[in-house]
Amino acid sequence: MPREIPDPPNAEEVLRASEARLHEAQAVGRMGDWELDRDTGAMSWSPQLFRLFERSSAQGTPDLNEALGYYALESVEHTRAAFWEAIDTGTRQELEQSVLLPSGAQRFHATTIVPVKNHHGRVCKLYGTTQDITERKLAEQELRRKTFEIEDLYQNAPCGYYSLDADGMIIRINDTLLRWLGYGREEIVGHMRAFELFCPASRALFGQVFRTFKRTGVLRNMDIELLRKDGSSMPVLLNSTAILDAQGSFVASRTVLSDNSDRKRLEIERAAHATRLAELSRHMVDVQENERRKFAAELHDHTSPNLAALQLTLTNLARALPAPVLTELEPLLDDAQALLRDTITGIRDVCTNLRPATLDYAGLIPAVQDYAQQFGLRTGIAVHLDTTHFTMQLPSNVQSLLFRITQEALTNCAKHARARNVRIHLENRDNRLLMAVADDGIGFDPHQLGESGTAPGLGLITMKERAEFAGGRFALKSDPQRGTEIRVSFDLQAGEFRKQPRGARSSANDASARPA
Amino acid sequence: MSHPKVHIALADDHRMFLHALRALLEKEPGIEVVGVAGTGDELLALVANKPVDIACVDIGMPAMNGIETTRRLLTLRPNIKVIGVSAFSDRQFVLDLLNAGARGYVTKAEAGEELLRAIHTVQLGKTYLCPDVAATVTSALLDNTPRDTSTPRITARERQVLQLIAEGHTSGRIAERLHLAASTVEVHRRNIMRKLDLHSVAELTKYAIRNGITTISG
Repeated sequence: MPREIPDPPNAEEVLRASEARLHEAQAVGRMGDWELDRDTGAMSWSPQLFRLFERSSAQGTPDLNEALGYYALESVEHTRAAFWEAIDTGTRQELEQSVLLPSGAQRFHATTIVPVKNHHGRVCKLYGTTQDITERKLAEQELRRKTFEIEDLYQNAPCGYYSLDADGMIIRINDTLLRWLGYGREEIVGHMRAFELFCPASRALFGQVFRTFKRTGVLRNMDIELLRKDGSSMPVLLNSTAILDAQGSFVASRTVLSDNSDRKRLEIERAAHATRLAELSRHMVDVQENERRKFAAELHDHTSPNLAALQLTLTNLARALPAPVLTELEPLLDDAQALLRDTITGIRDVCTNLRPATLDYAGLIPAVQDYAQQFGLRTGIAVHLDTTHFTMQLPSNVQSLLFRITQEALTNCAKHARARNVRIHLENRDNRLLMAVADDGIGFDPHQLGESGTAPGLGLITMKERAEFAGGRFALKSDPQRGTEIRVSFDLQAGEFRKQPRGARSSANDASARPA
Repeated sequence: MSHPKVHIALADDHRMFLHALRALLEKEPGIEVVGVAGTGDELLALVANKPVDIACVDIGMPAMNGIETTRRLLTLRPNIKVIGVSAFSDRQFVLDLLNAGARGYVTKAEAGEELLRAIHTVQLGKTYLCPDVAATVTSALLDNTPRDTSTPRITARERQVLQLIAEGHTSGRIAERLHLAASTVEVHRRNIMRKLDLHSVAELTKYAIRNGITTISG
């Protein structure tokens, strides 16, 4: 097949075209080329090179020394040395330079130096290219900075990091965690398994959790103790995620440990605080009981007998009066006697409510019996007391507590329950002390308690708190059909009752006027 | 007088009460107060030196309480009859005192007439509990038994007030009529209800009519 071959273009045209393409390529690549005559030091620069150095062609081509003036200080020697190296050894050199341009801009250049030898083997000429690599350089710097930042973040984060392989071997660990542990990286990575980082008490749990974790891939907020190289421990919170392969098998873990000491300390402080508060509340309750006891004793021992003496005095007075005068004054004396009687009865009720003398004298059961009886007479509600399975001696603070709860429950019952019967049940069986007060009244919705700040709500809350302060449990059941039941129980095995604060018991003997 | 006087000893740490009680008893024919004691020990010393038939003992005495005092006194002189006189009406005190050997119990609030009644009763070899205490003790011993049905005593003034209540007057009106403070009338009303074990005006009215304190009018 004949082919049409175009006329060969003339050589000069071809050369010009080639040169134009080269300049085009150089402009796109921000690259220039140059030549240096070793003997004369004369250079020739391509037009693109002038642009790279912000040099106008009017200034002419610089010699090597002048060209070196463009470089930043640290690059001048470097460049000079590279030229000499090329000349002395005849080998090609590649280097990067920092350039300060007349406009003040800093650029980075990559220069290639190619030595050309004459037929004696002597380097007589150098040529090469210079490319503006500022963008790549900046990108590299940026990448380095970012890499450093990320690394720094990993190593010095305010939390510990480690990664495990499927065998639980530590394959990566950060500086923070190493500092916490007091180990060097080389002691741990590839040598220790994760469980060895934890206190012996936590290891079994960790092993168990790790097996589950490998399946589920997530572990959240595990409360665990690190074991430091020096043997001390440190509470941490552990969170892990697993890296799984395409088949879902475990490859490695990423684990974050956060320092939990502060929270632990806060927890301990909070617990101590709560204990102090409970202690204080118990003390307050005892102080209150003692005050009531003293007040009741004062009324009983002084006020009531004074009034009784006053009554007798009035009677004596009446008898001393001559009959006609007495007849005239009798209604007034009756008034006075009536007032006294009412006052005495009032004081007796106040005393019983403050603290019945029987409670200190004869204990809980007689006190409840008396109170229940008075209550029945006053309200018409029948109170049934069952103490068949009650055989134990109670500490005085628990007696007070149970009496007060009975009192409060009966009062509520009379005020709100519209009950006809109340059963009080007291027993100690199976290591448990239980008191239950149940009525057959209208009941109420326990969820609405305290919402309106009603008196029964406050009473119930106080009962609950007092029971809990004494180490007991309080439960309330109420149902419109079945009435209300209050249960207070103590686990006798779990360490009996809370101890009374000092001084509370001794003052029970203050009421020395009481039969003892 | 054909009967010899009954010799009485009083023990109470409350001096005012002791003297008022002594003054009351000394006015009674047939009664002679042979001595008073401020403590249980004083009473024991007193009965060792003087003839005593009846000892009225306060329960709430310091050092040795009335129950212990009673026990010791009866060991020394088993023939003495003890009557407890106390500001307490709590059942357990009453029962313990009776167990210690006492024959009577009177609250201080009722110590006037009731104590005289108690003295006369125990003198006859019987036991006497004042109404305040009898209610609590007997209902504890015999649950659901009807209470003492003998007519309680009300004063002349209470009778007046009851009559006016039964006739439909308000406390304010009654107070005006009797020249009393309204609060005093209220006190009378409370005392009457308590004494008669009645709980409403209707019951009071019914009682007043049944007992001839008022008649149905209009």
